[in-house]
Amino acid sequence: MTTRAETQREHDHGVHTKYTTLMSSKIMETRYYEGCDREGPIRCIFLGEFHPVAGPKISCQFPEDYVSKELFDAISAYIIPKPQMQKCTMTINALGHKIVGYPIRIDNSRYERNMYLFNLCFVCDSWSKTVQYEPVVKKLGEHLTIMEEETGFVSSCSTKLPTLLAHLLHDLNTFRKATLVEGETVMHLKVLEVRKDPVAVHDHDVPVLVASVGLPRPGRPPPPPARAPEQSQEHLDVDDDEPVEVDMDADWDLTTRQLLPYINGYNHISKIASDANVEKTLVKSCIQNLVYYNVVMLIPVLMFNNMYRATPKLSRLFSDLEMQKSCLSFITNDCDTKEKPNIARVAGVLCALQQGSTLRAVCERHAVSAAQFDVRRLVVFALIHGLVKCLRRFPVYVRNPSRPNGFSARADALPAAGGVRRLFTGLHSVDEICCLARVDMVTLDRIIDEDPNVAVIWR
Amino acid sequence: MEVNPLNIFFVKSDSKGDRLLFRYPYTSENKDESKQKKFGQHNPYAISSTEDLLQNSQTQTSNICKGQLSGFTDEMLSTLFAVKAELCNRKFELKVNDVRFVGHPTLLPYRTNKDDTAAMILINIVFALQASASHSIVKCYYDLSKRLGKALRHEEKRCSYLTEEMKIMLAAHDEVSALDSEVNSGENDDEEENSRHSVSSTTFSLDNGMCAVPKSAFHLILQRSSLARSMKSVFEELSSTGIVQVRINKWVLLSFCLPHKAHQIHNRGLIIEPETIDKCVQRLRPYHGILLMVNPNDLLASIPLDGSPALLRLIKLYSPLKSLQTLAIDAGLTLTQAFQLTGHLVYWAKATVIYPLCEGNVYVVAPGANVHIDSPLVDEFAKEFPGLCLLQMLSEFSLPAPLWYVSRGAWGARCGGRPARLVAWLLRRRLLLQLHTYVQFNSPHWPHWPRNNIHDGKEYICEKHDLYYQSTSVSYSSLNQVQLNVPEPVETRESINTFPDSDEDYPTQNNLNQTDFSHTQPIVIESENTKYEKFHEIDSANHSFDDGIDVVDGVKPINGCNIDKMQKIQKKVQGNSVDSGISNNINGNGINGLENNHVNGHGEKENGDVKKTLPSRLSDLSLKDNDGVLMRDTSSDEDRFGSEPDVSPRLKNGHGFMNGLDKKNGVSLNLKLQSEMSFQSPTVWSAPMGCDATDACRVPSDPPTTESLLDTFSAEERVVLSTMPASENPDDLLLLAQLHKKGYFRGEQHLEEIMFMENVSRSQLMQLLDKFKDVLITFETEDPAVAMLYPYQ
Repeated sequence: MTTRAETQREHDHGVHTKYTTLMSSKIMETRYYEGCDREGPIRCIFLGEFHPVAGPKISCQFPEDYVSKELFDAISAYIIPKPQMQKCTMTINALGHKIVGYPIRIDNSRYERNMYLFNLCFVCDSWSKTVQYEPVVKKLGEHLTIMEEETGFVSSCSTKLPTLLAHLLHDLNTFRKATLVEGETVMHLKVLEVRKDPVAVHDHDVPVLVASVGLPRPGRPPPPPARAPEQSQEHLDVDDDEPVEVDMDADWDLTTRQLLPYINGYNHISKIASDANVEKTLVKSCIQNLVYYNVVMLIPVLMFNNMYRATPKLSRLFSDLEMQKSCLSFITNDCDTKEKPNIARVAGVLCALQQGSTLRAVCERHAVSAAQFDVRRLVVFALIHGLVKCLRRFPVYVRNPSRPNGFSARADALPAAGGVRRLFTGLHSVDEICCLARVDMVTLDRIIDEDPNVAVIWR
Repeated sequence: MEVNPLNIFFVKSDSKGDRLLFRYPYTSENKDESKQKKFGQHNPYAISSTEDLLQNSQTQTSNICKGQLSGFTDEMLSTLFAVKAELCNRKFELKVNDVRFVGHPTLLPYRTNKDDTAAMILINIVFALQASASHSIVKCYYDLSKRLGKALRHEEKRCSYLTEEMKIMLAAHDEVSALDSEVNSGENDDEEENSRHSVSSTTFSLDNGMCAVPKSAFHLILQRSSLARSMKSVFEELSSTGIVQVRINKWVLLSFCLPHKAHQIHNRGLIIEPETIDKCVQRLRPYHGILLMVNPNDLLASIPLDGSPALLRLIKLYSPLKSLQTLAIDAGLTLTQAFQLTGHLVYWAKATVIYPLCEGNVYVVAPGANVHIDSPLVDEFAKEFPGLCLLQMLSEFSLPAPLWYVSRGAWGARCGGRPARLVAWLLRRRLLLQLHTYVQFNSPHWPHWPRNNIHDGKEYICEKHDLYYQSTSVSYSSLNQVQLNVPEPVETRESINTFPDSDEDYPTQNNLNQTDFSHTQPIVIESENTKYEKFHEIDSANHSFDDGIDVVDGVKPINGCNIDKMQKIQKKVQGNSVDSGISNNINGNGINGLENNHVNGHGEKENGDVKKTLPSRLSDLSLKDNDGVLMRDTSSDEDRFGSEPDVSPRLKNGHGFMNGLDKKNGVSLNLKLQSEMSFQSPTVWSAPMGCDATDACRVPSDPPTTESLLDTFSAEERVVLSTMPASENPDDLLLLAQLHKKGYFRGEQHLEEIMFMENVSRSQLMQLLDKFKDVLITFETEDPAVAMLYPYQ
């Protein structure tokens, strides 16, 4: 096995050196490959049209000669497709380029063939994600259609067109938005980032403001080890990210502004809704919106009889000094006057959070009191950074060996029990059941404990 | 489902132009339905304003209607797919609205009928996918298209297969369009123009009310052309299982797997990308094992005749109890080969990666496990294990405890003494996830360490391990006692009151030492006990490091252990004869006899052993022998190898056994690579150090290795270490320093890995953890390499 380990090490080493040589020779480009799921800049914008004599051709492009004649000829079928295909976003990925277009046909007798076909296309690298440009290309196409119909702007091959394209390319790449004024038409264009659909928000979810937990941001990879000279840069980043909080007071919509004070990392949606006196569905869609933009993250309700389990990411806390720092500053936020906890202590508590011991037990065992740090903040921090995971409890109704539970006979049977037990399907965790059935945890625990046909699964 | 294909197209382009020869499914939408769709949404009373272009709703944004491709005529598609020569023989990827087309246009020489001069023809087999399909899915489809193209090129070259098939297809198209023009000739001529676009795909008999007209050209083609049928089956297999096995022209076998889909055969909703599998294979270690998702016999039968013999051997020798290293040695493969074969099996959804099953493993319910009471798994489980309930079983695994502990619960008796089978079943469905213990050197830079509290806590954590493993080994060696062996009195028990755990009833790791052992004790009955023992032996056979006994660091323990094992075997045979339940379980076929033989054979060896005390090697050998049989025993039990009498693996096993000791010898020596290693080099920590530990911390002692080892600790750490009584033992300190130096205490390697890589026994590690509990903290989490293959939200 030593040989195995050695070969592995050798292999790693080999890969590493190969990688670095590649890196040095071809700068950063080698890191982009097809399917890397990253956005790339627009390399070129061109206008293709169907010339009555010459057939498909590029009537204008910026920068000049980016798309060669050969390339265009190879893909012209997708730039100027058959007349039946129009007004659909078409993306062709060929010969190292990815070209997004929106072919348009205008039927009018003033054109030589009674119709005019054109297409304004964005060219990107083949590794780049281009979904985000599709709405922009489409909107541009629609506007150009209007302009063409009104003034023949496109077909006359206006001299303004090259500058317009250059302007567009520059603004979209640098500011990700552009405003074009041409005659009476004003076009506002913005590249919107396409993200994954946000998860559904439940009554029992707890939103946490991501900005409040400090750096490093959750989900970010650990910074490279040689970080010392970049320290100032790092702080710049902090400043960059900080305004998110300022913005939140100013720019958000009314509902969000109303809700923001109640988002503290401990209140769940139902509670926020009732405290802020906002309708619950409204709260949910508002929070979902914030989740989409990564302003908040959802975590389970913090309870002292919850169980938590470490994830493999926990080891990052031991190696990443940045994270240690931010962890310590976050957990001592409320009581910074007392003696400061050290990271070893914190790590001890986090490691003790194992499946099988509740948060309460861990606190008692480690004598964690408010004196040193707030254990609740520690749990929130660890959850946000994925260092630990909260285990959820699922009561399930096991029908198989049905045993009499004696509820019908008993006088003190809880009135809510019957309805609640219908929720023991394995789809709902106890948190969820509490919210759905409007019972408190104590009652629910009693119902679960008293029924021999209910098994509890933690996962 | 974005994994499924929407459609498959076959397009040709030659000197006579391009043509969509075949598509499947071909029943595209009805004409009038699409018309309704187009105009139905409009308010009939609204004034249509042609100027309002931005509001114009004729822009089509979706080309998928009810899971079917829509909005493209066949002609449009054929022009799109008949690419220019520059784009040939490379990836073709086109996205239109929300549909992505992917294919590999293949240019190939083609014999025209009249003269034998080879003309070039372009064929393109294109798959239509949802645009949201991930890049790796697209890549797989591209690969499939490429392979189909290659197969066709080969068949064309061999016997002009493509020419023949294309002739059939074109004839069918012509036939239908001839009929169509006949039908249409009396009618409006304007339709003529359109008819070519749509004729082949529409079921126009409805429109014309002519029943005599055949349904569609594609229907005819499907009846007449074998290539069309192959494409149909490709499409259908992709949509159902993701595994394609097609013989093109009954000659070229095309097997293809879409892993994104294939893994859903066994686990609904589990999407595993090939990239994940690659990452997993990279992280594989020799101590990992594999768990087949299917019956090995079925798997062997499904492998084509020209399958790699290495793969066959691996499968024949497979057992979920074996590590890859063991498997590789058994099958005579290199480790790299074994890893690659594992990756291959995982790719084809035939296996998953696990840590080999053994009793010390700690399992919990996996985060993504389906615990719905109406899920089909519940019924499947009930069928597989009568008398057991899946949900109750999962609730038993809700709190982490080693398998031997869990299996002593109520179900241990009912699952017929085969917890391995049960756990394997649960692992296959990704219902269980294994937790490993990771160690972190928690250097307290804090001088005034709050000693008392932490001490308690730490003691707690470490004790539990000790307790577990001690008690395993204890109950193991003291076989004659039926009762569970209560380990040494636990000091922390006084502190129960101070730590009132709400969940005291559960035998969790943390409060295990609080709970009185009498809780769990009385259930243990003899038969169950023997079963348990049996299982334990089996696994210990393969994972010598797990019971912490037979890693050889001296002669004595081995001998002792060996004798223990002898006793156990005898005991077990007794158990078998006594408890008919067990012998039923072992599926008959002579296993008992085999065992008996073996034990007899063993008797001699035992004598030998007793006579010559020398011989750790010999004892090791005999030990191995022992294990070999047992292992086989369960593997057959486990996967029903045994149920079919003349299956080769079994035969082979028997053969191997008969073949005698020579071979075995070699194997066992190899197998015991670890133990051998401990023979080879007296490892560093056993070197005498001969000076006080506190001195050792400050003043470096004589051997340079020691000094360099201790350098790994910072000054503060040394101070803390020097205050610990455990540091007085130089061996312990050295082991600690060595492991620390090699980076094992960074929370990145689990105990099993440390044991494997460093050739330390579990008990050694446990003791170390206990002795240095002030600076070593542990946490339990999953092995990322294994967890990678689990569905996470």
